[in-house]
Amino acid sequence: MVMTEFKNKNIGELLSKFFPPDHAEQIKNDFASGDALFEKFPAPNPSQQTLTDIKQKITRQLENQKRIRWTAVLVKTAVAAAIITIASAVILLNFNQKKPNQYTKNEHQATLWQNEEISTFDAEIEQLNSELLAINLGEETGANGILTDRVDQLELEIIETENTFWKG
Amino acid sequence: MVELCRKGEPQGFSQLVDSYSSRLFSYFYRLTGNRDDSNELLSGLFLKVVEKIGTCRPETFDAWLFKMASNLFTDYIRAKKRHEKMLDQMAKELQTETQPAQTDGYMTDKLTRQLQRLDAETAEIIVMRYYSGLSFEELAKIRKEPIGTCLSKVHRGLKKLRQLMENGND
Repeated sequence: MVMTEFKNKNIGELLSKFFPPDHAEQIKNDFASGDALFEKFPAPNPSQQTLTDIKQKITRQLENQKRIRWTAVLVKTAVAAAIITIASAVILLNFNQKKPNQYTKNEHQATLWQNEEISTFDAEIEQLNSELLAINLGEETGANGILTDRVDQLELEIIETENTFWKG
Repeated sequence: MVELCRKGEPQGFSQLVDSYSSRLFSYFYRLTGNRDDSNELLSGLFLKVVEKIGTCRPETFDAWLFKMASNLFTDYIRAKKRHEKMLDQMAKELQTETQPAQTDGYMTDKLTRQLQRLDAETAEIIVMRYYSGLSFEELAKIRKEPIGTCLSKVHRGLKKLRQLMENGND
């Protein structure tokens, strides 16, 4: 095996950048004689069995890598699916939690309506409504209600005014 | 070929093993002096190539490959040193039994024996330059050294190697 050809390409030019011309030439010759030693005493080659073993190991490793790649794809897919499932569950849970909140608000309002003061106020409005309805229908007898009180009060004021008038 | 490997094609890796195994085995053998260790390193290197081929650019494949080989050899040296340190702490007879220097497959040729006598860094740069076929520019880039430093190291190392080979007292 002659290994010296292409690596020594331009070696003269390279050496001349670092050394004076005569020294560069000497170094070039030393390199050549050093390389000649390697050619004179060649190294052994690996056995055919070694190469076969290496090729088998490579094939096994390639198969392992392929399996690992597939496993990685499966794991990634499973993780993505799990994330989507969890996210969906969280969203649904939040959606369902909003409804009970609305009910609570309604219940709170109902509680307010059941408050006693409001019930009394409600009863008074109810009474005024019925009196107004009675007046509209001409059923007002003047026997009771807020309007009757006011009429009574007006009558008393008229009587008082008359008395004051006649007294001078 | 590199493109085929990058696609994970077994055929590409088969071609790769056929094309590079001889040079890489020689590289490891020159540095370790042991066939078994070289086989193991070669096998480990190709498996690393399979694992990391995606990070390599086809145009710098040779440099990338030999850089990885160099890293593996460095790890091997470290492991060996740790092993030797451990052995030093053990009993003398056990140490003698486990020293691998004279076993089969060790330092079988003169050049490899003399390369072992150089310091590991010098031996590695000489061997890498020869078997990788990389230019000094590429070697300097791999080793993260100036080109001039690489040139000097290889020159000094080859001169020393030639002296050792000529003296030949091994």
